[in-house]
Amino acid sequence: MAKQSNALRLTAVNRAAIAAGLASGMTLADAHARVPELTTVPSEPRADEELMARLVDGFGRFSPMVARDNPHGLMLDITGCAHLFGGEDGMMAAVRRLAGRARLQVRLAIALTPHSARALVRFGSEGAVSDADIVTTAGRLPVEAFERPASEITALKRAGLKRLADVDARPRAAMAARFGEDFCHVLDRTIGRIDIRITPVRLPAPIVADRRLAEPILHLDPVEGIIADLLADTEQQMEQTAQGGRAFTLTVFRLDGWTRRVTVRTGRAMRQVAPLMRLFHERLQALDTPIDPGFGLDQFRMEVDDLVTLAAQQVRLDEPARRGESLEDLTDRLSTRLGAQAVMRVKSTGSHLPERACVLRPALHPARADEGDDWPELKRDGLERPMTLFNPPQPIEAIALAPDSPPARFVWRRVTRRIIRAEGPERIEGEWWRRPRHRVRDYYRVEDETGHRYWLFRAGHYGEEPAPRWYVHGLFA
Amino acid sequence: MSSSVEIQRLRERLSLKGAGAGVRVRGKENDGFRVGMPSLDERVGLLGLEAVHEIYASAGDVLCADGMALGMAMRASKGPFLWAFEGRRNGETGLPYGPGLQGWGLEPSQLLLIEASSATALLAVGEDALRSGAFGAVILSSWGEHPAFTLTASRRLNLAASEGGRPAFIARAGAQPRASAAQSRWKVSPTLSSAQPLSAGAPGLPAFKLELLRKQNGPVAGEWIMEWDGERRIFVTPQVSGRLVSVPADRSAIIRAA
Repeated sequence: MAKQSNALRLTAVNRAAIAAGLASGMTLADAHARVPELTTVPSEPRADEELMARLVDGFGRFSPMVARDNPHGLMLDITGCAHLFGGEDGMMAAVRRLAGRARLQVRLAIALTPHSARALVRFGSEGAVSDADIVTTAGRLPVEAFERPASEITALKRAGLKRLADVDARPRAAMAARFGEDFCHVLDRTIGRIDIRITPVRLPAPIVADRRLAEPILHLDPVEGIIADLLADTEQQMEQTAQGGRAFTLTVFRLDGWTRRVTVRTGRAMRQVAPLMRLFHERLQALDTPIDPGFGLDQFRMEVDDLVTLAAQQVRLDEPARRGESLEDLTDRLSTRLGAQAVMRVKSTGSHLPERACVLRPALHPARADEGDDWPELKRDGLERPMTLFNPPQPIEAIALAPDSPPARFVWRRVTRRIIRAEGPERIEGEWWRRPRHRVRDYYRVEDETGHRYWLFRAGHYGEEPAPRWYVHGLFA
Repeated sequence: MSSSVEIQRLRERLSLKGAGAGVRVRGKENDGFRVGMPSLDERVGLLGLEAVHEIYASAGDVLCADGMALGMAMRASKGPFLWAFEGRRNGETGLPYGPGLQGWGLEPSQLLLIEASSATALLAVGEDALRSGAFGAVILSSWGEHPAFTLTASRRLNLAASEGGRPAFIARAGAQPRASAAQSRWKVSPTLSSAQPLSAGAPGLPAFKLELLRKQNGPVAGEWIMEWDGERRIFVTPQVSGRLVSVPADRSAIIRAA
């Protein structure tokens, strides 16, 4: 129940309420009058949306292509999926069981096209309709099934057209003239002549493999074996098309509709089971929250995305567990375990600005056009750079005797350091096209009495307003 | 030839190996690397290529330990290198910087960097990297003390190093040297570089004081002042220029004189 146009109205009613004569849109007062023992709860549209999102995932076990059928419906494209559940009847039974466990009341219809299925489930009787019978069966639906504005529906009824079949029998030209061009298209769609593709919430991956267990499992031990099985299936599929994938997603489905997705990404395209198994093993070990079997896991799906052509490879019957593992495999495995951000390569950008000259790029990420392995020949020009860099540079207090000389001492992290050796200044202009107010910097390579070496700079010149500031930008080893 | 000569030869080969538990006798006699500085090499001899070497430093000398570890790694191998460091220290030291690594003599494209979230993760990465043999050398940089650095952990690293046939260099700044299965254990600290006669006041080559704490089947201790030449990728004796001549601190000599 919710407040609509200044009165409390019912927004949704269950089967028992419908049987008692209540309907959505009725005011609360009316409803109470008819059914004194009525119980109501406030409607929570946000919670409803969240539930729908979870149901999209949960019912996704029946097909990778799931779309929302507003307001409270799901449209599944089950082409080619029914065999997994023992045919359409078996699938309907499984859907009802899942709905029951999730404590949902559902109506089901299976039909050739999405619109006819929707019309059947909302205005007709439940069940599966064979392809041959679709037009006849849909024809028996009332004209309300068109879901057109009330005025059109009334007009159709006044004209004596009560069912879809009646409308279908009339000449098209007359219908188009009276109700608009698209009316005939709507008719054909609803009666089952025109099939359109649904737009799924998640695009299914090009390569998919499903395993449905007769007995749900309560522990995680068999999971890796199931993953290996799924990977063998996807490997076979990819061999047919001579492809390899770079993103492998495992979805586990639980009895109560809960799902969990685990993705493994690789640097290079692959399809062989053994290296992928190692990566999945790493990923499963490294999960923040382990998979919770709950009352049982009964379905597993593997989807492979990011496909590229991959030539046929030799079958390797003995995959040694890690000795002689190649650098690429090790990089993949460590990225999977620690996260792609933690495994990095050092790339040069060609910028002369120190903080932009070097990028630590995750090894798995594709190479960028503006980053490479060409480093400027600084040593040849007698220029030295520190082993590490601070981002941002750390402010220090420094005293320099003359405008261009290095400081005699500086204070950093509350320690005064006395400078014994110094070289500089090396002037580095800002990239004026990026930050016009970037002050010019004079860099100094200094060494204190203990032998520690620092890369300092002064931003701005003495005598300028505001006064120049000193920073330590990096440390030398 | 007589058996005693053979035994002597075997002994020499074994002493050069320094492989610790489970001695593996290999074909080549000179299986190891040298630091490059004559006074150190003469005293210490070859350092193992399938072994773990630890370099300790005080908490304020993090990069000093890193630099020493990287330098030794470059002496032991041409690459590629894996350098794993604890992410906790980034606030203290900053992040590795390509131009600086290049200046040290490394080819940045030959380097894979790993930021480990903990000492345990660091050791696990090191073990996997060593065992694979995919890298020429593995450098691990830890920060501070951590209970994960047990004798067992160091034995595992040792095993991984021999399986993969590659050396590991562990830089441990802010930790106290303790018993481990490492083949050699060192302590390093920075020291003032040589004054450069031609470029007034400029810092010279990076200079270190390196102390040998322990080497398996080797000399007991020693202390050297050395510099790292990034261009030639070798440790060198500092040029004498108004500073003390560096000699290995031979403690036995002091005891004898007393």
